[in-house]
Amino acid sequence: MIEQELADGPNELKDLVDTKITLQKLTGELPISGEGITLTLKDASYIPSKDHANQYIVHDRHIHQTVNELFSAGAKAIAINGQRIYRNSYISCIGPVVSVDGTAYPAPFVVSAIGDQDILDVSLNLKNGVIDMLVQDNIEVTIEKKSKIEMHAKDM
Amino acid sequence: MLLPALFLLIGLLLGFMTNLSIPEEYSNYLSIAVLAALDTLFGGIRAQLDSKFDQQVFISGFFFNVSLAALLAFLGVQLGIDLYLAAIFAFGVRLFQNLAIIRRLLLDKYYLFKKTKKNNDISTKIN
Amino acid sequence: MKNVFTKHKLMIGLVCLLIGFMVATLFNTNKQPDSRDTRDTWEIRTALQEEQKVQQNLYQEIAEAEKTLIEYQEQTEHQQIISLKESIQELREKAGLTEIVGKGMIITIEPIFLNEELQEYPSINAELLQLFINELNASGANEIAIGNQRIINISPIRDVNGKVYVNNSSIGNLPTDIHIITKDIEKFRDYIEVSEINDYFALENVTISIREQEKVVLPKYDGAINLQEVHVGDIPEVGES
Repeated sequence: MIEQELADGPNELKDLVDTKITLQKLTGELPISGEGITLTLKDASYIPSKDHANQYIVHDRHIHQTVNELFSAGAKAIAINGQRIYRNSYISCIGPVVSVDGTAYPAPFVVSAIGDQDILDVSLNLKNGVIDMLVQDNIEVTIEKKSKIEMHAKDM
Repeated sequence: MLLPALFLLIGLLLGFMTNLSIPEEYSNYLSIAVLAALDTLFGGIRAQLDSKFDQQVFISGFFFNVSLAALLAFLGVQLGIDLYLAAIFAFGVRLFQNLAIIRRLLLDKYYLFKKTKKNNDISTKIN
Repeated sequence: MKNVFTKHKLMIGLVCLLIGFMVATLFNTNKQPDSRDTRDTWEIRTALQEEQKVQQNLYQEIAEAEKTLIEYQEQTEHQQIISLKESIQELREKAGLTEIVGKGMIITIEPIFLNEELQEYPSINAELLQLFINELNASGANEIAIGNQRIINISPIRDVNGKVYVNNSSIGNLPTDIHIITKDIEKFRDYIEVSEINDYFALENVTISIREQEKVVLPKYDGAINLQEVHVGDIPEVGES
């Protein structure tokens, strides 16, 4: 990477290179990694036969809410089942499959977020927060703190 | 006796006139070879004076000594030992020995010549 | 007898010739270095001056070469800066950090009042807005701004005390304008018009109206971007600086 070599050079160049790298990290032109947390959303394993099965599976809105909660808690980047999402990404759940920008992933749905682990964890676990809501919707949620989450660069 | 001296002179003249010189790193070999050649030459002179000169010995000795000396010097350089010093020492000692013998032989001859001359004088006087 | 004598003498003569030749050659060889140093002071001084001249010329050449090298480096540095700035500008546009103008549409989310007396003032929630944005993205929106908040890669939409916050600032009460830039307006419009999002909006006593515009202006994202904890790929040091 020539930019990284140049980063050792004069200050102006260094600043520009830093800016460029930051922007590339933001736009997904570079693969990124960092500490963060992962949430695994699973359909309820026990579905009482009387009830409607729809009430026990993960819907788009659960993922949307989780993602937005994570962003508002300062997540730097979020990936769903390993695919990083961008501002014009669309997520839809079709039965047991989640589709991110047209690529389908099977359940369980793993939302990984790079950012401050503690802040993310606390904001997810707020009273009447996202976790509470998910649990209320009979979704099995597991949170894991990861010291290194990797995300690929956007396919150009 | 005159002819070899003449040829020696011609060789010297030829050498100086062609102004031939060899690279610095090979001059050591040449100097050793020259020493060997001189040794052979004086050996030859001595043998001549002893009247036991053998042409074969002289010629083979010349070439053999010269090449052996050069080879020894070469080997010395390759091994990092100053072997050419051994050659210089051996040839030098022999050179001086030969020179000494030549000197004595010449002196002997001179005395012999004087004696015979005297005898001749006496005999003529008698006569 | 005479024949042998001649041959005998000739052989010795030849050897003597060789010896003479060798001695002469050796003499020549050893003599040569001496001849080099037979210059007098004046000659040496002249030679020295000449050498110094050559040296000076060389120094000059080196200086020129260095100058060219520095010029080249500076130039390439300059060019590097220019191309870096260009790519940064491009990236800023891509990231949504610049104001952008393009063909697209403005979708206004408006309240509908069926029964003004009984009805609360209609509002939307974050969930609905998220779904709507998702729907917009699915239908091929390129750039979106809600109110004056540009949606970028890390924009959160969520409820805070009953108000919808985008980029951590409230979008206020309805009606709200959503500015969209898209390539294929027709397709986009068709997609949105048949989307079930309309039903969801209707449930909240809200409707959307779409106005196509030749020129839609999207504001830039004005928050701070801080990605210090995010490292580049497998090279952990880069993000640190």
